Amino acid sequence: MTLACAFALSLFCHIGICRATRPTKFVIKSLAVGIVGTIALAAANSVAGKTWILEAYIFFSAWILYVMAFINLLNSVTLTMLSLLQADIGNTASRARLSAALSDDSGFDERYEMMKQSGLIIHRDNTITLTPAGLRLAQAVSLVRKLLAIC
Amino acid sequence: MHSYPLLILALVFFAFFLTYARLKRLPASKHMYRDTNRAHFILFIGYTVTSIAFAERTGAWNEESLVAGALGAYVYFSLYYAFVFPFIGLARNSISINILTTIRQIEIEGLSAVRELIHDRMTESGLGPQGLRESRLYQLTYLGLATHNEGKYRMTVVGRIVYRVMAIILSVWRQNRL
Repeated sequence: MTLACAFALSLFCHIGICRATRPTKFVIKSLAVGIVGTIALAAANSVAGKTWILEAYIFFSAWILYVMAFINLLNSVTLTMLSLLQADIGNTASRARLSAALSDDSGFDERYEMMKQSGLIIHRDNTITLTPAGLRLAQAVSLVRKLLAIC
Repeated sequence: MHSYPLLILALVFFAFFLTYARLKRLPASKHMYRDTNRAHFILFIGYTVTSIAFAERTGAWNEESLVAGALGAYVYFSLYYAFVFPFIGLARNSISINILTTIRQIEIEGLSAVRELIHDRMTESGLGPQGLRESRLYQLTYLGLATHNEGKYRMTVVGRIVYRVMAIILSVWRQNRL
């Protein structure tokens, strides 16, 4: 199986899965298809007696690039602003109207809700606490931030 | 020529880049994307020059060495753009990640993580929605997607094309924007 064929086939499956299921858990579905595609490509090349590590790496990194680009598209505040402009008469909108794409309250509230659903935080009254999973993630991020000198 | 020496060379140059970025604290700089991208590209030039010198020296200057060099270049770029670059962006700009780390910091200080305190801490450090919103409003005009005149934003032809293309892509995958 060539690399291009494997990628095209995985992309086709990914589109099929996304269209057939509800538009949630995009990251999990995408990573699952990418991992299965990588394993299938490596197995096919291994059976054919070809070197498989390099092709598997190229496939997986290209898949990650594709998924990252798509996630950016889904999360794009700029695109939300464009859709507000598109919806308004004369494709014109005020600064205040565009700012509604990411208001202070909605910016925080949407994320609190998502994090609560993902089991990372517990939101009780006005106080927010980390769950063990949330704490592990926060610790991992802090560690990599230190390693890469990000903050 | 076998591709492994040039692949190993690409990994060595990538390790140089990571070390340099860490020592110079490039991901923490004000212009983190520009600074880290520039350092990454300069070291790519170093990789290219070294690869050519290596091919010359071993007398393997042919089509196969070009393919090996291109594979090395792919590895060098993909390690950065598929893994390191998104993580730097996520760790610095993601509101969710910053909420998590801010709560952890507040808990370490022995305080109670009430919403107002989290919001204040994030706004102070420019990590809240306000900073992100301002940068996106700036991007709209900087990328030519809209013009800004007397407090009003007007979509340009480029903005309309970009919006339609993105809308088509999302509809093919049947996804909704978050």
